[in-house]
Amino acid sequence: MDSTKRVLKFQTYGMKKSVGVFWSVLLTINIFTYILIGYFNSNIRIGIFDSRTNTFSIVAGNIMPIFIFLIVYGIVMYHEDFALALNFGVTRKDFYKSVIFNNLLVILVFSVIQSTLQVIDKNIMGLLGYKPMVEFSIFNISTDNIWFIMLTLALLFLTIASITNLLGILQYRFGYKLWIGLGVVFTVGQIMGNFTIKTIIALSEILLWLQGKLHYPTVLIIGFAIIIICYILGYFQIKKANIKK
Amino acid sequence: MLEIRKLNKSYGKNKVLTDINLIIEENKIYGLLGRNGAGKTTLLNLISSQILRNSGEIRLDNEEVFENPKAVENICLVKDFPDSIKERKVKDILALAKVLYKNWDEEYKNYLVKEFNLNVKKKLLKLSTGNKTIVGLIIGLASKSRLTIFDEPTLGLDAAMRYKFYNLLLEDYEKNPRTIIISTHLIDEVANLFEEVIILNEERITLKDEVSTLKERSYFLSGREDLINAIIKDKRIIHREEFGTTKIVGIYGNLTEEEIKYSKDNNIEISNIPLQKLFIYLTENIMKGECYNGFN
Repeated sequence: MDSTKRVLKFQTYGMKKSVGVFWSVLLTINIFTYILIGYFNSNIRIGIFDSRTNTFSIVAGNIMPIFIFLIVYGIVMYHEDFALALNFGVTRKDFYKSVIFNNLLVILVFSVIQSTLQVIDKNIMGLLGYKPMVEFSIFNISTDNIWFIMLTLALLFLTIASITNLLGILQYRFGYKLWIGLGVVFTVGQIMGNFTIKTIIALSEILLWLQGKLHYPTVLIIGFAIIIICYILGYFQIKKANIKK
Repeated sequence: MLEIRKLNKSYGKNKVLTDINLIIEENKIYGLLGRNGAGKTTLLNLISSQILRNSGEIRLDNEEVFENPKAVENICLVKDFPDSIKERKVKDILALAKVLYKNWDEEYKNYLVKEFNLNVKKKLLKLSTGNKTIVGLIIGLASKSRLTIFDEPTLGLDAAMRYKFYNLLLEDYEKNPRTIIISTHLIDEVANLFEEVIILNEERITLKDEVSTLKERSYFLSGREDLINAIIKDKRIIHREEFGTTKIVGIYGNLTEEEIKYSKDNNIEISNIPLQKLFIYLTENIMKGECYNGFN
């Protein structure tokens, strides 16, 4: 077995457990919410509810935990795995290659599970007497086929994973200085540009509007551009990284 | 096997290693000695590519080590584990080591776990300092890497465990010869393991010699001051002690047959300087500006 294969095996060792635990918890919460709503007619809404269209999706609420998982995964990848791999005689380049492969594998698993859940959710919500949420800006559960939904989700997750991967590397290299730096940038931004919560809300509304207006190919190109830039920047940072105590 | 040329490393403005030149031969046990902060760990980290150098070359079998999988897969550096992995269970760390070291000997690992009576189900964090050290020793021994480096391998180990490790190391070395570098402060305990000694002092390698040669060249002379003074006048004195009229002098250099005969005739006792003491005396003298074998 050559060194790249050994590093891949090393990373998959930890991945299986964390991905398994994450989805077990998430699926349990999803099922529990269906039971609460179906059997007990509970008013608890765990998921995404659109008051304008009066539509509801329970599994759409998984997106936020998935984002959080990817952030933690990106940081742990370098905070723990990188240090251990370097300690056990792995080159930075081999480690990084296997990180990208590992991210692709995680994203593939996540997009397959999440897109299947989205389709199932549409049917269950209908059965429970709710109007299911089918329109998600970048895909539509009713009109788009499952492969398209899967690929779109994969692109979305990979974009997030590439950003969190870069964040993980920067956190490994600069530690607390990174967060101080971000804090300073945010504070300066707030002082200089009157950067208030209202501005953030306005910006996010513009983004949502843009998301609706942008054509799918444009979203695709932007997504790929972010992925490539983040992974390239990440490599230039990690190839200069020392092992830390 | 391993060749280091003009290696330099500094942390910011703090220079740690200057113009290091070193050749490590195949299938030998080396002792890397140096005072605290001499740069031993930095040198070992550089050899195993764990940190970046400022300049210079490190080549294994004539191939650059840095970012070279063919080279680094032959190197195993055993040192204190990074804090970030201490939440992991010992069995997971050993399983990962098995995946990453190409010559890993699983059977031997199991034997070592039993020998050291290590609880592999515990988290690394929950182990005593000695047991954490043992995890590293097991990895180093079972990795069967061509170049195995132990940085402070006996940290927190009691005497019984330390001697168990020395015996296991020698036993394995005889069966599977490889190159071993041991960096330690417990010099006398491991002196018998070393074939060569490298002394790192004040950013530089100030001595590299066979242990047998070092022992042959260093003596304590003990006797009446006036009689001793006659032999030591042309010698390199590395230590001096006086008790009334009795003088103990540590010398570094060869004694001629006449000098040995003179010593016997005049009741001057000649004994070898233990390696640990020799190291202390040499580093003290090197600090004063003397270099003993002109290695650099």
